[in-house]
Amino acid sequence: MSVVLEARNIKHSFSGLHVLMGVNLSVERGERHAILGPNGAGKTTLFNLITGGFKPSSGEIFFEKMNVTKKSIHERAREGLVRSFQITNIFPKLTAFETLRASLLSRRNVRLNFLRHVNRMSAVKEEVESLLERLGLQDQRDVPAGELAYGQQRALEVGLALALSPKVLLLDEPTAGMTKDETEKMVELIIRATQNITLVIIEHDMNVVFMLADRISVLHFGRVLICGTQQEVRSNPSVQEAYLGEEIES
Amino acid sequence: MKKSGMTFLLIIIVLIFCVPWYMGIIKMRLMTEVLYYGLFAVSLGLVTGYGGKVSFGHAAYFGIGAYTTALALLHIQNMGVISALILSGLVAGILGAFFSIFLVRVSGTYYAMLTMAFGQLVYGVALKWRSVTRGDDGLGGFALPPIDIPFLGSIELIKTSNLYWFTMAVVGLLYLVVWHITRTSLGVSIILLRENEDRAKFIGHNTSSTRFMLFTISSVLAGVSGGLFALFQGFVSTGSLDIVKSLDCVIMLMIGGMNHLLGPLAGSLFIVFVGDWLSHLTHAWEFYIGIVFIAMMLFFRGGLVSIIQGLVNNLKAIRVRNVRIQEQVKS
Repeated sequence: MSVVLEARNIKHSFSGLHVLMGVNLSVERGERHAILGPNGAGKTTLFNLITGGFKPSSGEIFFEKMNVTKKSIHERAREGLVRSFQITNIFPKLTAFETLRASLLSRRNVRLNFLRHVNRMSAVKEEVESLLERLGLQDQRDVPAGELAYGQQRALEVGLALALSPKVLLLDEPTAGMTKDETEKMVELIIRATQNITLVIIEHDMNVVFMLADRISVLHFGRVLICGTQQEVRSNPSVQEAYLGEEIES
Repeated sequence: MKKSGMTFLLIIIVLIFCVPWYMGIIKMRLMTEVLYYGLFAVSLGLVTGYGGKVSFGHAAYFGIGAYTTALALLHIQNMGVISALILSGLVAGILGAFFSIFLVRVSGTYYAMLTMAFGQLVYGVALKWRSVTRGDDGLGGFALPPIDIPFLGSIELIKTSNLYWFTMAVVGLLYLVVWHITRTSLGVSIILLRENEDRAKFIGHNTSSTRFMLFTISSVLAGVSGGLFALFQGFVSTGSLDIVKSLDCVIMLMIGGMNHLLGPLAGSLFIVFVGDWLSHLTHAWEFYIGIVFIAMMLFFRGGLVSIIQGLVNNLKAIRVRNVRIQEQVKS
């Protein structure tokens, strides 16, 4: 297997507060990689650094063997490095249909075209409809995203990323704040939708992690404590001490 | 578009076209003002209503357009009116594109302040570069050449109705262009700026490019509307690009409504006609316009257009209810 995404010795600090202190992470093509860690471990910060939201204080990020450390957010998204957000981050006044269409147009490199009417692009329309169906949102097609139920907004959030046909999809707590029912549906959706996509996922829910992930990296106080299979991670004493133990007992 | 909406639009177009036949000279002149100020407000509406960016310096592009047309007609031999307007759009567009290089780097309050600063910069130049602009004395005395149309003869713009129709044609054409743009992927990208610019980047949009294009297009429109203003007034001074002009534009847009393309036109119609009527009654007419503006901001954010839409929806609801009652009575 080949490495598709690699973070080398990433350090980052916010006005003197060291959040990441030399993180190394390598993600292999086609795997489902979970990042675990207590609150404040720097998981979301790592996502932001990988996708260009922040520039790291030091260290480098490689995507498809290319150094993307200095590339902007939209350049990385166009290359296929796409993330979703833990706190739902959508376009509240656009309908579900318009939201996904915005993403699909971007994937087709139709962003600043001022000649063709978007309503007349029937191929785009069909693709949006089928994506809506995959997300279970076909009945909410014309509802403004801001008025959708929370679970539906989460689905749209993930759909916005999926619509770009990413090479590597980074999901930041896709089941955050969901009921058990909604969580199950979301996990099902993620498994179905990411058949051929490399997945990196931040998740607090252990059940979800163990259902989804092939490999797990545990982030603790700005460092990767261990990276390995479920068995390896579960049986690692320092992980149990740091994080897992209490979580499983509760 | 729904059939009723089409009919409504058609009625408006016919009413606008027929103005010279049912309005006197004075009203017709006011209508000409409504049209070019409407275009000016549309240019701001694209930036503010669609793109969600506030500009407090839009008169800079309006004024540059006005000066360009005036200077072109004064100094360039055989300058046609249409070429002068195209030149106005071009010069204003280049200026807007240049300022955009800086504007794409800032957001929110800083964006608004920077647009205002650029506006004042242009005002300062126009005021002090007397050899070209004649400062606050202004530029006048340029003749309006007739427009020659092959095989049809020439149109004298001195005639009020002809100037009205000419303004209408230019504004109508550019309105169509704007309407078209809002329906393309560029329009979608512009709306993403307003809704959530940060998220737009994460789905692959280069929001800096979108903002650059948006502001440049808007300055072109403002420039052409300024050119029309110069043709109509026959005189251009620093009053055409000072901050008061910028704020007038904001007020027109907000009163008319910035979420609909007809909003800016409704706003300029209101300001020009109600302003004219009030100014005959009282010296403090701007005070009353201010009260209307405040009331709009507090109670009707969508402006006049949303009020009309609300009324139409209410009428529809009443009709539906009446039909239902009648059916119940029958059964």
